[in-house]
Amino acid sequence: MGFRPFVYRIAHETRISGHVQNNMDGVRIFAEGHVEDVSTFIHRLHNELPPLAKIQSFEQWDSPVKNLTDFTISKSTSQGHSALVIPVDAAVCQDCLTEMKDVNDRRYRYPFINCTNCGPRYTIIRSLPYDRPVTTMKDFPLCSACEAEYSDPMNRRHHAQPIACPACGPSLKYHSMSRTGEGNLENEPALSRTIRDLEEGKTVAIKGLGGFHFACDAKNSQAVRQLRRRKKRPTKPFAVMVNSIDSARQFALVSEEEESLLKSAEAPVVVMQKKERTGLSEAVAPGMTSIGLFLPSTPLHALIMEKFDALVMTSGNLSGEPMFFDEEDVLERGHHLVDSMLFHNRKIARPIDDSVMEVRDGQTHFYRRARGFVPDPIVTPFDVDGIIALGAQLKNTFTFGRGKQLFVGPHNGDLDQLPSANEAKALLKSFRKLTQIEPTDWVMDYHPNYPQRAWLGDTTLPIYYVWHHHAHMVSMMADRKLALDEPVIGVMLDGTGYGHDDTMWGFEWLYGDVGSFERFASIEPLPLPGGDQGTRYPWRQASAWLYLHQTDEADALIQAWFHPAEEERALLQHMVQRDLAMNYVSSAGRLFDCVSAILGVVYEVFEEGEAAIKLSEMVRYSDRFEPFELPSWRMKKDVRVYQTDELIAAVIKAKRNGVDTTKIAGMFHETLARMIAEETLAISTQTGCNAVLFSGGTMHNPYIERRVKAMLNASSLSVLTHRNIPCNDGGISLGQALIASNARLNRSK
Amino acid sequence: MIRIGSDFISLAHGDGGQKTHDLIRDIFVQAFEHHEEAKWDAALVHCDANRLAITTDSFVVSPRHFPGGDIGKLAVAGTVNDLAVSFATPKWLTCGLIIEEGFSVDELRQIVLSMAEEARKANVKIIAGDTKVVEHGACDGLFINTTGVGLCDKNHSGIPAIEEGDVILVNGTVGDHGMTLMALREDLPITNEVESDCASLNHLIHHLRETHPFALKFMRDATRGGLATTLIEACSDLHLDLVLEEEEIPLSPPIKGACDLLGYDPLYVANEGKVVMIVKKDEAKRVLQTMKAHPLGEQAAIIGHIKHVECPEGRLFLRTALGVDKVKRRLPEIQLPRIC
Ligand SMILES: [Fe+3]
Ligand SMILES: [Mg+2]
Ligand SMILES: [Zn+2]
Ligand SMILES: [Zn+2]
Repeated sequence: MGFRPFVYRIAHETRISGHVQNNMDGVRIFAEGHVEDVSTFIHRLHNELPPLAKIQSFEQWDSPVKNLTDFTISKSTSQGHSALVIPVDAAVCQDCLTEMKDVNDRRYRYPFINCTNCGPRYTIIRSLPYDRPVTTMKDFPLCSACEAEYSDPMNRRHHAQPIACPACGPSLKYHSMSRTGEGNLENEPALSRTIRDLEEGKTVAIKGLGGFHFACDAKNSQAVRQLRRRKKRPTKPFAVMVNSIDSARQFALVSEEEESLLKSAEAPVVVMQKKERTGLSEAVAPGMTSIGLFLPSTPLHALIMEKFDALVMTSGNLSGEPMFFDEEDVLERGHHLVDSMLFHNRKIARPIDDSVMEVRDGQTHFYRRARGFVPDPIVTPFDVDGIIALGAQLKNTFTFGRGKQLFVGPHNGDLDQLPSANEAKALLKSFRKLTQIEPTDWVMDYHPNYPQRAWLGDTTLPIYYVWHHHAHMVSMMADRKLALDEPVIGVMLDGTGYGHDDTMWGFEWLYGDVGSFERFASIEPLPLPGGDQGTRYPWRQASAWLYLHQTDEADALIQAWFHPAEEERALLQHMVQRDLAMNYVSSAGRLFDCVSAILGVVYEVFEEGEAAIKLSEMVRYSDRFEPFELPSWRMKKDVRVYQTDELIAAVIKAKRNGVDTTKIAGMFHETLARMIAEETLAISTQTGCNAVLFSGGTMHNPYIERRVKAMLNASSLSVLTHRNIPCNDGGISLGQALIASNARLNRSK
Repeated sequence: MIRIGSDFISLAHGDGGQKTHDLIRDIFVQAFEHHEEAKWDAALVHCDANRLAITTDSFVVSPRHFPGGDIGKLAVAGTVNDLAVSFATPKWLTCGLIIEEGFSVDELRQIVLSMAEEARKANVKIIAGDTKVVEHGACDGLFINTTGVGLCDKNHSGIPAIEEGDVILVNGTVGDHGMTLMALREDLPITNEVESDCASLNHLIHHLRETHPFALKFMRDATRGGLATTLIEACSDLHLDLVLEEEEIPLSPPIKGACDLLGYDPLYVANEGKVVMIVKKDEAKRVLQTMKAHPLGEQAAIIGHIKHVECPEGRLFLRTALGVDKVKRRLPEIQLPRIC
């Protein structure tokens, strides 16, 4: 990331001689000169860092004087083991954009322009230390002009491994999927043809940094709907790429913090409050009050976006699969999803999706931690070497331990699906190569049916098992760098995780640390007919609840609200009466599903968590509502169990009294928020613990987070939420790794 | 018809005395029509094959009577099918019965007659048998074991080489038997719309082999564990990667609906009249036509293909309607209890 050239430059400016070298430990600098010069050098080293550089730790020691006469950049070596940096990808920088627009520059309109401050890293590296011959750029021998820049220590492209120009670098190609369309075009004609396709409402697969996007005109409803049909994605909000902050402001309310996040080198998709009547197609984010926007992250995107203020730019994949990152694969398996394809011949060593985030209370909140962030390590006080944690089943990530660093990998998708599983395995292999980790211990969730179990088959290495919500809690502790042996109160709002009483959990108050935890409180389990299949149908969950609790009127209400087919209704009723194929889960996700269906927000979901998300969207930007009466609780086996059935009954009553749906949704949220705050306070009083952590996928809910936090802060508890790791199951593997390292330590004692 | 003098089975029917003699003579010998063989302690049969196929199976199904059959029919068809899918011609069956004290004699007669009828249809003889009566509570009514003997085809020597692109064929809708039993046991409101597929498949298989002598490479009857478990076993035994197309797998609408609500995967629900075949790819269409013309194959379908051969792991994939391949594994727990 231009660190060594930066060191070189300030060394020259401060009259320092010596050398700088990359090894597997990081960067080693030998500096000699006058005492004042050396201290200026060190000061500037810390205070003038290039945009992408971060100093994770700094050690300084004395060394015999060698009387060197100049300062040099030495070749990288693969020695060392204490700390490892795997460079992340960065969005195209201003300097490169300026050059790209300059007709006199030799990289005028060159879509692969980059420098030490920007461009691909993680996605092109095959092994470390990071040098051009071990990247996918080794296919492109440098021309003499590039070679000169590359070897000039004062140049912005000194040792920029992906350096390229039109004479020597990658080139652009266009391919039409239709037989009658123009065949293969290159470079400018390829680009202009792509733009024409997009203007005509067509969908184009565009190869970016970490994989393919499917792009279409975000203002053309027909185009967006066609993309939805082809991707079989009826409802999931699409991310929209905008060409500038000004365009972003047309579609969303953009705060200062959101603006700087949009413009950051990580260039994530930022979820912001959607404006009304903006000209964007309603089909882009149906039922949402928020919208995810991002700026062009590569020079290629910047060139395309010269002609558009907003394009749908969604992950190019088959529904549920990882994104395509190889043009052959698009041709073979994705050709029916798009009209044409814009691609290039720079290979992607390993794919990565766009990161999706928002700004809450001035802080970052992750939905998906990916491009720009993966695989920045999380430094721990523990020895985590050789630990590989295999995460949860959905939103799966792996975490790799090396020395005292944990590398959380990108999202692998649903491991039950072959392409996701294959990619997860490829990732495992490639991380082992990058980090040179030999696994010594595996870590898994206790859930007996997670597919990872089968993978390990006959491993002879120890396997550690971790409870799902314990992992959530510890991931949160690590995210915020808390001491892992000091107990915290963990408030877990989640879909479902396997609990230590062999039931499914997901609305839990835990108290504990990295070593162990207690379950203080929960909610009365809700009926889930037909197991996992039932989560696709919130109306079935609501109907099962009605049959259990409103026996006299259940039939009438179900028919009036959900209009089920008679056979389906009869069978469902029968299942409840006979307790057949019924599960009972104490899950926040299912509670939201149930209320979402009752209020007519979502009856059937097409995306995981959709019913809860759409319900929370109704009150996302609302101030606050009055609560219903707070649910009572009962003691069951030392756990305070909240009777949230009373809350569902209150929701139903309000609906039948004709109360406005948004108001009911708001009152439901407010009641839960107060219930959570009240119980958390009770645990705090009981334990004397003041640290409260929020985790679990349902904690994405902005209203709940905001309100509970406000109430608890008012009672002077300190509430911590995730900032660096998603609160959803993407964070599970991090918690797993730490819990296992603690267990390993205790075992060896 | 001779009456055996009581309405219910007692322990005395199993003690080897007069009552046992009456029971066997009046119910079994009559139904199975082999007065000659019954004179000996063992059945003597003549055959000139140099290889025999032998299989055995026990039937403990509950309930014993269901739309489409009963435990007797099942006990014959199940064993006949195990022989037929092994490329053998079923010839003889033995049958062992374990009867709970107090069992209704009428029901026993009905079940034995049903065995006899299925044996006639399948063109096999039931040539030896045994009955035991156990105390009340020691078994659930009636358990039947059958052992089958068949003649191996001299022209069939081992499994021919299976190739990439070879086709997977099934002779009709899946999950019928298991869901029918489930519906009965749980009194589901679909009971009137479903029927077990219980049937002897030997004539269908024989006919296919006559018509397309070298087309069928491998067969299994997809009983307990359903189509998926059967194919998972086959994939690991034969080192094949196999892809099923979800949308091509025949399902009857009430079974599809019930499975969806109950959260059951119909591919894991038992069948008792379904054979799944690996068929040479260039003959698959013709085999399918022949199958569809047969009463036991009207809803036959091509449901998948061999993706790779010589895979040490041998995996079964299901390509969903969205075009995504899912790995199918053995179910971690029994999906439906005791269905057989
Ligand atoms: Fe979770
Ligand atoms: Mg059998
Ligand atoms: Zn740059
Ligand atoms: Zn060049």
